[in-house]
Amino acid sequence: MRGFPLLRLFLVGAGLVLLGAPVCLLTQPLPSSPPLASALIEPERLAVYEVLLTASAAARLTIRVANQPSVQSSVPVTSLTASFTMNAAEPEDLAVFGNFDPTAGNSALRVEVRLAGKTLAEATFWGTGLVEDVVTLPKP
Amino acid sequence: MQAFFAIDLHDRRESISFFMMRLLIATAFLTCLAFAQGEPLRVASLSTVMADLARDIGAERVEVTEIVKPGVDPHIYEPTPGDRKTIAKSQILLASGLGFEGYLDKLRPSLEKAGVRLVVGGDVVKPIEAACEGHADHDHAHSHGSADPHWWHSISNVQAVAAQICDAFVAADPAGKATYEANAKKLQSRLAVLSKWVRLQLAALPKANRVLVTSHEALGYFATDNGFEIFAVQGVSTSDQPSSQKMKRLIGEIKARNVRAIFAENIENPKVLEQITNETGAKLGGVLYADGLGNGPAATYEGMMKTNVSTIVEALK
Repeated sequence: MRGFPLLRLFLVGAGLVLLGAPVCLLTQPLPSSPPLASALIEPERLAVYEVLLTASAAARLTIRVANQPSVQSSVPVTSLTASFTMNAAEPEDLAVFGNFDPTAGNSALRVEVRLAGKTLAEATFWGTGLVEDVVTLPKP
Repeated sequence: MQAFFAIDLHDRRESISFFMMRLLIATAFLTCLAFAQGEPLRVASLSTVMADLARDIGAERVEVTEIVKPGVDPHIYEPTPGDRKTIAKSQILLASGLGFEGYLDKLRPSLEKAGVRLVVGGDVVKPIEAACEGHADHDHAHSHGSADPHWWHSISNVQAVAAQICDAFVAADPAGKATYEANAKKLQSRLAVLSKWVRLQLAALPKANRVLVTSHEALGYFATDNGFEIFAVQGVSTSDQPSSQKMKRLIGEIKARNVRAIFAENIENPKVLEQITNETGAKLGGVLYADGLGNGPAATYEGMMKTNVSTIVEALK
């Protein structure tokens, strides 16, 4: 061993790499995931929007908002209520779905959106089977 | 027994001659019908989108010739002598207008001479102003007006143009009125379904992410309809060249707004965009069909819109 300086150098180098690896792993910056939209918005600009879906007959109802978990009924119901916290300066669009019995004929799905107790938007969509549409909320 | 066979043979001869008679009458009827219908309406199109609408509305009553074909850059296209002959032989010429076809004014006298009816889509749409930046820092020799000519990126504009094409077909071929109107009605319903599909897809995209960085300023109508902000490397025409100052501003904007993806176009060299992605860290989001229809799934208007929307949502979500 004493007679091979290159081998000694290699072994010392390998030892340093092995010791340094955990330190490097612990100190390197973590890959950052894209932050949620609400996390970037100042708290005073956030507002709670109440959404009420009313169906003309029992149906599986769903409300979808970008960047938020969708709210849906597990069984056919005639109404569904949900609240979404959004940027009041630029609220997201609401995608609403009513999955009706196709044999039931023409069905209606009414959407009402309230902000601080006042009705901000309302719309009624008609169709057979799957009734789906988008409600765009007005900016203040 | 002999008498029986004689009767049978007689009956057979009668039934064969009766069948032949019926075949003759049917053939004569179909021939008359074909003559009554006459030659199909000859339609030439300088717009791939309008050609698709014309095929839908006219169906078997029209013969659509695409002068500008999918995948060809219409901004730099000039009709060849052969194209001019084809146009002169047609009864209707479809054009996008709003300065999209820089050569259209030169064509007008020959169209009038040949009795070709010109249908310009831009005449019936609601134009938006072209956001052509950098007038001071690039050679602005391309031909376009102050309105953005890429009107087909708004479905409501396409609905208006579909009605215009239907009216033009009825005027040129009144015998086909019922067919044209029925087909146009079906097309309008499909466009309404497409419009809802687009809104449902885009609802999944947060408003803060609705920033489109594209090769050239072609998606202004789409942006206006769906709440997007547009940043384009070139101006409204593919012949516009970005200055180094504009590139610097654009790169700064992409970094500041944390834009996730930028988009290339089907008929352009995406090298400049690749350079921007290298400097900003934004990914190349895919290829958009900006100046008209493409091939494969984007070969129809509905297919093109669906391809563009899916590409945008997938890259910016």
